[in-house]
Amino acid sequence: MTHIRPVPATIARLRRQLREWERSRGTPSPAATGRPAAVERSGATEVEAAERLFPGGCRAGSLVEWLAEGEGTGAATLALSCVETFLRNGGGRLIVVDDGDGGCGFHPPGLPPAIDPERIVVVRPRSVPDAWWVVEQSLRCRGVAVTLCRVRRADDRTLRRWQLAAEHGGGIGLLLRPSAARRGPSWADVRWLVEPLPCLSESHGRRWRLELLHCRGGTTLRAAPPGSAVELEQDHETGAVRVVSRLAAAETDCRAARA
Amino acid sequence: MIHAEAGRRGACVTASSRFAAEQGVVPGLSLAEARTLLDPACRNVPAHYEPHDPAADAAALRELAIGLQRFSPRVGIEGPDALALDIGGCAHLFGDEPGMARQVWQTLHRAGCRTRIAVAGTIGAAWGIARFTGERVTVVAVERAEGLLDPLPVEALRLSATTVGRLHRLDVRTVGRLRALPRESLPSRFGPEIVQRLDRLFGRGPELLEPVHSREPLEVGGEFAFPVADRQGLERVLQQLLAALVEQVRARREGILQLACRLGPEEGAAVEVVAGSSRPVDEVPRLWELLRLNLERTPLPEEIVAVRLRVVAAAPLGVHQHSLSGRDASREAGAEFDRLLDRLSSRLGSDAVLRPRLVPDAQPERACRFEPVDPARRTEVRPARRAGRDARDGGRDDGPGPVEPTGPTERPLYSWREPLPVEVVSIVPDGPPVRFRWQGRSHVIRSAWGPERIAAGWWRGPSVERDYYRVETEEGRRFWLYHDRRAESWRLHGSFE
Repeated sequence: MTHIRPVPATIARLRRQLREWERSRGTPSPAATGRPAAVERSGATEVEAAERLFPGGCRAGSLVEWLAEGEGTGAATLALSCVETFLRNGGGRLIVVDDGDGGCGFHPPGLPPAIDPERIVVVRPRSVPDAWWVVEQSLRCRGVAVTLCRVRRADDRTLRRWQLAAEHGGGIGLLLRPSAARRGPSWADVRWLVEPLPCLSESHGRRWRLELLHCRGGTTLRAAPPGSAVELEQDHETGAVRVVSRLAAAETDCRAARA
Repeated sequence: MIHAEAGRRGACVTASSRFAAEQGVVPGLSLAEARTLLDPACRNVPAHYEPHDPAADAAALRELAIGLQRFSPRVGIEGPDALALDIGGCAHLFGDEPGMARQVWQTLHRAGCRTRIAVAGTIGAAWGIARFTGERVTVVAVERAEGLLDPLPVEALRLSATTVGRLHRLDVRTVGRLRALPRESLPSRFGPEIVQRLDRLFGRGPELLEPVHSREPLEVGGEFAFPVADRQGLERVLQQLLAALVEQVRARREGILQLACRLGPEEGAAVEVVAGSSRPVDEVPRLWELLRLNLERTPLPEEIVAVRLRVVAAAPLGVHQHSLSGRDASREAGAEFDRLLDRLSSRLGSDAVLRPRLVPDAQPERACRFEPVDPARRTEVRPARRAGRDARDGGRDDGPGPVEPTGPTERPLYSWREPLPVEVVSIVPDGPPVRFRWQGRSHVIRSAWGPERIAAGWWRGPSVERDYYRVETEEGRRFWLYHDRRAESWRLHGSFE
């Protein structure tokens, strides 16, 4: 019996081939991803940042993780900005699982204007098991377009269940997680690391550095590899988020990866 | 308040309040004309428009009929806005006929109904006199009935609009003039109903009163021969009882909205669990799931000797037309979403599944209300209002009218229900903060936007006077701080997540 030991060069070559193939095809087909066709409903994004971060729209039936350290980072705002069109077109509904951690709860007046508060249901579970049950039920429901939840700590089994539930329900799960979660495995399609940046001046909008930590299928960031990063800026007046530039270092990484 | 329904001419007024009627808003007027008349007249309180709901009207009238059974066991419904009571043998219990009529009027008046009552020998006569004489209460003696009925307009005969129109064209406007015409010629000229109606008016023809019956409560249950502690066994019995209950509800072509399950222990008080659904349900598995989720979060007696299931609220099952293309995805998604909300409410309780409602209140913690999505606890949703106008009113109207979100640049996406006290350093007294200390860490503020002064709530008691600042730390994190001008302290109210 012959054992074939994968060598890093082979893996890199296969990854590169896969990326090239997917780039030429655009969004992968259901057969390519191995998921049922029912979950391939995708919403074309209108927000510039969302368009750049998720070309062709966020893939329905998937989880997206937004990692950030501490409070006030703006990760939830970014996450919601990227799924605005899901909630705007077709009357999608948003379930917010509000754990009220430390007495800090969801505050709808701060929603992006494109999201109608009438289409939101806020669920306040009293315990962590209840919260995880709500997330799974919400992801499994075909009537829910987006589920937003802060996840301090969750085991692999729970995350895997959520992934399967999202595939069944066809909605998107937005998981707001601490940056320490980057060390664990990901069951999400995409994992972003959000780092807030100081604004350029008081008349300028809010800025972030967004690093792609994990991506299944390579459809994110115009098929950029993990490790790529972009800089985003929020319009001071309208709140719209746009991509300012791809960071030079990331560009170099990108080129190196493609070479 | 105006009821309007979609007719051939568009929305028309079907009913209006006394104030609206004084402004010239009468049934039949188009909604646009009604708005033109009403909106300028309503300066302080905006006019409230409500779509006409005949099913709700009929249900309310039925409730009223059941309520009036304390005066007579035979109460019938006569058309969309009238009730008929057979008071034969009952009047002496309330003094006499005028006394009884007055008591009925007072009962209805207390229920908020504008009513006119007539006591007469026939249903037709009572209907016509109540409607076309101006008195609140009229009691007609049999011997003088004809004299009172002849001057009534022909509409008092409960004729169709076509027949009434035909009579008006011939200038036959009163019952007396109609009776003067040869009786034999009436059916051929105006249809067979007119003679029948005339006979019923004067008691020469029979008229049936179909009494409204209050419904028997739907309930199933039983007692065990010995106390049961086995949970699985109990669940099996409950499922069987539920199936039997659903059969009874289906026979009425209804679905269950709310279901109560009572579990009686051998000693001590019984435990009652109530499960609810946002839509009428007649499927046993779905009802069982809702009941099971409620039972899971309720401490049950160890041993149970009696179980009882009761329908608290039921409603007719919705009828919908299937789309030509087969599956209606949006309807299915909506129904599945409702089922999800039912499940969540059943397991977590109604107060844990909430719908946010933004209200035009300047005080941030009052700018959003969370209302249960559970229909039993859902409050009435008022129509949308302009946020700008409410803001000009100083935000004093705290009604739950939907308003636009302020936006992620102005308001944080997460806030503390109780703002946290923080230590803040400012260079200038009452000036913007330059540094604050929170969670044992010092945060240096790089940019601050503000102050946004909010002074509100004096009409509710102690007012708030706050200077809000949106601040960005040197790390780029954003927070929402305020300086309480009354307490001379700083608090952290939200974080721009």
